[in-house]
Amino acid sequence: MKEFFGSKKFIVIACIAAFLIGIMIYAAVSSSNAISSAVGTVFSPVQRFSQRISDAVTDALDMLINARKYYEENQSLKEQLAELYAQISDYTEVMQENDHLREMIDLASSADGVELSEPCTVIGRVANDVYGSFFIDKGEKDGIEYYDPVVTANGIVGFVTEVEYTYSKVTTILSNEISLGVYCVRTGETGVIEGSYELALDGRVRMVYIPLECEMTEGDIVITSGYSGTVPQGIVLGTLGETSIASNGLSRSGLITPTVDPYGLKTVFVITDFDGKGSAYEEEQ
Amino acid sequence: MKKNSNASESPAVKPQVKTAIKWTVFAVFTVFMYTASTSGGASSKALLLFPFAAAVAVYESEIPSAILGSAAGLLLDVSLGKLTGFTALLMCLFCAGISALFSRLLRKNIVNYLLAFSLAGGIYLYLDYYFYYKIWGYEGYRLVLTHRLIPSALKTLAWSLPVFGAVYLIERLCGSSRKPKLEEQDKNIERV
Repeated sequence: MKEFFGSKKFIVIACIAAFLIGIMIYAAVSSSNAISSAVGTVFSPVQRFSQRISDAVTDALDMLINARKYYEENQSLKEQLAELYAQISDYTEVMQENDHLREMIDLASSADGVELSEPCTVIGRVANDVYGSFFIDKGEKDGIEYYDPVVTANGIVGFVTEVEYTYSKVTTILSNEISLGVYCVRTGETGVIEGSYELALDGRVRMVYIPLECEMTEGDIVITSGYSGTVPQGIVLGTLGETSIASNGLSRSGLITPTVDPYGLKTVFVITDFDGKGSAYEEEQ
Repeated sequence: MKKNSNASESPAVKPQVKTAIKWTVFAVFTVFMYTASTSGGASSKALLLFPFAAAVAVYESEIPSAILGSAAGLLLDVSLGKLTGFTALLMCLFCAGISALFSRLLRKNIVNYLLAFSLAGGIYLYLDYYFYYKIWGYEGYRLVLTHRLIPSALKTLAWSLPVFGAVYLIERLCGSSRKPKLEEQDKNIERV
């Protein structure tokens, strides 16, 4: 082996390694880099095709394997529906709440000043990512910008955290890198959403800084406050689960189950502009 | 010029063509394995490019192995959402090292390949865990090791066997068939 370390081959390999270190430093100091952009541009069509095949196979297998589970789920849902019919006696209250929710989740019609992108197809997933981050087929050329919110009709999914010319990477709200101001629809109590590895494995996030004397109960719906200027106000995030007193004893924290399951998404929308976008940042300036 | 009169020694397909076919197949494999790592659900996945580059390094010389390792590493960086160059640098060094070991010290068989690949994979797993999770100390970071990294590593290890088999077949079919001659048979050698 000694002669290898003195050979020209070794010098060439050392040069390749030095080049890669250079790429790594460049990628670390810049938000976007030519290599990942080029790779994404070249492979996006292949990825899209591959994802379609994978989805088709997964769906077919899922129907076969989980037929029993779906049958039971169907029965359970029927029972739930029957219970809901029983609860319809309080018609006025339900209607009011329903109107309120419809107003908040129907993004296209209710949120004035919100500009949505064209439907974005999920073309690939970040391999082995706990938070379910994924790639979409819209990028800089489609008007997507860094930290644009990503939503579906059911609620917020996450944020764009990498923008290349033809594709973007979306980090979900399950990530511990994302904090988001939220409040409860029913009580108006506020808090902040944050993720962790442990909660992400269960597909949940934590709502912190809830007042000790809060009136929120399990099942309450939590929506975005829009205070930070990163996301419009009133987008549904999820439902509250159990709450407990935080370790500092000064506030409570609760577990939130997001209304959108990021692991099964196929199409999403990016909010490219909205009233008050970047307002908090501008105030700081 | 003296021509080789023995027709049986002239190959049906030129070595250059075989080499071109071989590297085209490797390129197709690379694309396929990259797309496989980003397709499907969000569960832990086998990183097929890693055993593939290592298997090619067993049969190829150091520089092509380092280049393929770098390219595969860059693709893995994109698919894993890691800092561009992190996996590429490690795979460049691993593949060059594996190639150097197999051309000088180790016999080219699946047991040695598995040992070399497991060692390289283990080092990569630890560095990935250390730099991306442990060093930051986020809440529940150990769960990533048990729920994502180790299952992915085990799947990769399981897939490394068929991947090695595929590379072995390609090398058998498209590799340049070097036939060493006995000195006694070589009439060009001047004997004292």
